Amino acid sequence: MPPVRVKYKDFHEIQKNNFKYKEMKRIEFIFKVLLFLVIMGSCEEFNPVDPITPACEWAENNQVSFTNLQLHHPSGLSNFHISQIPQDRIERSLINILDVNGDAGSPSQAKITVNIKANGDACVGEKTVAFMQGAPEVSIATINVPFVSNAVFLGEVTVGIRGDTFRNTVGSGAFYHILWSGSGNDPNGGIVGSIAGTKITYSNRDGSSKKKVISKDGCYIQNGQRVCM
Amino acid sequence: MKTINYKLTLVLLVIIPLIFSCNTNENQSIEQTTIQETSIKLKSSYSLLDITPNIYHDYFRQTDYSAGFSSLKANSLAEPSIVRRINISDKSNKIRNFLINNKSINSLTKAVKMSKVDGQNIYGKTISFKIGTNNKDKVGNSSTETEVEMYVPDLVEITNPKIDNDEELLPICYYEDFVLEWNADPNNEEGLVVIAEYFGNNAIPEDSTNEHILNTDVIDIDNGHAVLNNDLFKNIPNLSIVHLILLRGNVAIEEIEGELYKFYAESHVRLPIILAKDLTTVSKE
Repeated sequence: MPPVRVKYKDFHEIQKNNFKYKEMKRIEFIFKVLLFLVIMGSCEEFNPVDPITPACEWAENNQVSFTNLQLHHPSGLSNFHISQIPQDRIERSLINILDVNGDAGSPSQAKITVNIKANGDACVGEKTVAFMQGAPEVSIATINVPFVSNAVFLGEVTVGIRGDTFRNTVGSGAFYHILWSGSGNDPNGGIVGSIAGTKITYSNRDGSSKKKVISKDGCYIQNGQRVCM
Repeated sequence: MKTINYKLTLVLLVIIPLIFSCNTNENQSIEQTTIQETSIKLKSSYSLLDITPNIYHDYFRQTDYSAGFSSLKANSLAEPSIVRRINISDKSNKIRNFLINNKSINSLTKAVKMSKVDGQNIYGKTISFKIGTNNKDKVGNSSTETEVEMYVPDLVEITNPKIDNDEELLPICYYEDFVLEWNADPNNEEGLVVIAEYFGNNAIPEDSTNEHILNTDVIDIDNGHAVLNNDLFKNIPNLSIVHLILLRGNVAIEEIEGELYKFYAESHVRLPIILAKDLTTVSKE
């Protein structure tokens, strides 16, 4: 039997009335919209909320400085750790924080994270950069970071400093590191340098069992209440 | 067939330039990481949970000039750092005087750190910004004066989770139905902004990532208590070090002789926490 030929016009009519065809067209439309949004979303400069706000450009470098840097170590350090830091347990050099190696294996986990946020007066934007051991950008009390090049920078700088990992010998938990956190909005530059460190202890480093963080006082906060284990 | 080809060409013409117009910083940072492993530029992602228009959107609106106050409390134990920022360039020599609370300000392009005592005259008070301008017209000089008054909410402080000493810094907090409490200001009609910010650091260093996440929401009523939307912590991994930021203030945008002026005053506090999403990964000493 010869194949039945359908006129193009009739074929088109059949397709139009076909539910599956309509459904496919709908999916195609959604797909196109999604594709457009994904593409736009991947553009760093795209801001759907307020397109008139200028974005900061980060073509320059400048220094984030600490005023009278004093990174205080908390209690509960191992003897090995104590032997690596100044006697008064106050570190006054960012280079040293990155250079002091723990006794829990390599590579070093020490890291300094810097976030620079413009306040929107001159431009809107922010930059986050992390520095590891040996970073030439890190000096004793300053860090060379990308800086706003298309406006006067008016904003806030937040720094997170993490020391390397040590074997824990005081209390439970196998390993620990110290974390310092500071923020500054001083127009004369500088973050208040006297920062109290927090000891973060955890159970294991490998994937052999569930990694657990150890609560200092055995408690955590849930629904606004202190829950003790 | 011709129609299909035409449509396809049209779609490609739209999409291809869009792809190439995108900023390729991400690729650059990957290349840089390979060359120089001592520094990494983190990839940022943002989420705004409430897009309802509110006064805080104006804070990030571009204006010709701006003047205001910003206060940062770096953590619950830190003293607030108050800064007065003025960005009013007077190239046309038009501005006759600029006053805040009837005190004349001489420098119009400066950021100045303020004392706590000076801050007491700003926060929790109604403040005024006054600009006097001179205009030259056909008849001669004329002057106008514009005054903007606004209520500036009290300096914000987080009261729960409560931090009383260094030992209590960085509490472990469970993310679901997170109860946040602060010093309420019933005179504040603008609500507050709450932000969860993650800089890629995790309590378990090996679980840290190279991403920066900033999720923002609005608290409508300043009554000192809110249960945060769980999505505020979306995409932030378990046991991450997260900065919870609470901000409140006021903003006014005024058009003066065809130019936009932004007047503002805000205060915000940061609360670094360890974010627990899985309580079986929290153990006691």
